Amino acid sequence: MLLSSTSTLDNKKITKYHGLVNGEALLGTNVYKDLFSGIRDVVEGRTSTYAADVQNARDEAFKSMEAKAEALGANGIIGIKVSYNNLGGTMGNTILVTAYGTAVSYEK
Amino acid sequence: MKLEEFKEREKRRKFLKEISVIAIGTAVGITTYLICLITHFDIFGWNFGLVLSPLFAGYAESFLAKKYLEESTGAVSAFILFIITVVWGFIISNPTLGFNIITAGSIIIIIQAAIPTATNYFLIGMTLAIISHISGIFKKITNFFYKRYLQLMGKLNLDPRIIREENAEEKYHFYETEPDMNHLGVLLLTLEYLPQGKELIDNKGIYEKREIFTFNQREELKSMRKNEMHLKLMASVKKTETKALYNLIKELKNDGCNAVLNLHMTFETLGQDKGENVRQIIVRGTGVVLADKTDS
Repeated sequence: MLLSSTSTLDNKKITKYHGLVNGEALLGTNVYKDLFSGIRDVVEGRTSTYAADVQNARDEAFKSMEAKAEALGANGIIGIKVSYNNLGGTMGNTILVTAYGTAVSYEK
Repeated sequence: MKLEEFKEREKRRKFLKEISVIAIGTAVGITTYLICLITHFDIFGWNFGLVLSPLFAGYAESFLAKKYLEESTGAVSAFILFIITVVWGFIISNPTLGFNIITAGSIIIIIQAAIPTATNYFLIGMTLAIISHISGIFKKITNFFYKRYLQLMGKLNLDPRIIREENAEEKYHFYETEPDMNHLGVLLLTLEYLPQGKELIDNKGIYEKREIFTFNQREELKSMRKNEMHLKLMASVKKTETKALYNLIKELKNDGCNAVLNLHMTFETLGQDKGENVRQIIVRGTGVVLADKTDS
């Protein structure tokens, strides 16, 4: 599956535009743990754990998007956009990772 | 006369006893301070002798006074030691802490004079603190509790969780009613340029659809207890997103568009209102009419 953030594939012929495919993943961090984040920063490096969690959520969103493109019979996704949004809420930090793009079939 | 002489002699003897008791207390205090100085018994440049020497002096004096005089001498040696340690520790040797009238020593003397039992507890506390400092037992205890806390958190399954669409779908089946967006007659494109093999017939301008969804804070708390909060939230996101896209497509179709270019989706939290968390999803793009390119 070819993934591209560009709008075109200049050296390839796109045979079909299937339309929009998207994938989302929620990263639910926990308010009780965040209470102790200051201590954990010192003890085990909270920041690096956070970065790994966000990266995993992003990977999950991409997997979901790719699965939908495959279901449409596409072999590439172009014009990909990724966004990270804090949905906040009562529980504290809930991060929504969204990936979407245009599913296409192209001649290899 | 004999009685008066006896009284006078007794008074003198008592005075000598008092002086001796104070002197012994002072000697004990000085010895303690010297030991602390010689052994460099200090932390962050602050010698424990500043606290321990008035404490031991006062304690020794009080103990002896009670035993031989059956009354208190007012812990004079502790005060003497306080003066000595302050003069030596804070003025003559000029440590980094500098001159400070109100020291831990003065506080201890005040406490000792007021509540002797509290001083004893303090002495026990100090002893335990010293043992802990040397053996590292306090760190071991805090580590033990920290590990137990982590275990408890693990049992409650409160680790950061990644919720995929599929997780939420299993529970809430939001795809059952979802229309297939790519087969409603409008080609949804995130591209900024025209697709290959297509030409632009008409540009209808920007189209935007917004859907607000709320989540009751009490419900959020309830669902969090059941560990379902994020699944519910994901289901809400998917349903609202679908609704927004569906409405956008409907409007585009009504205006005669067959495609949308540069499609954007944004998710935001607007804030809280009357116990509800308010979030919005916006879908935005340029409505166009496309046709297959004809070679002319």
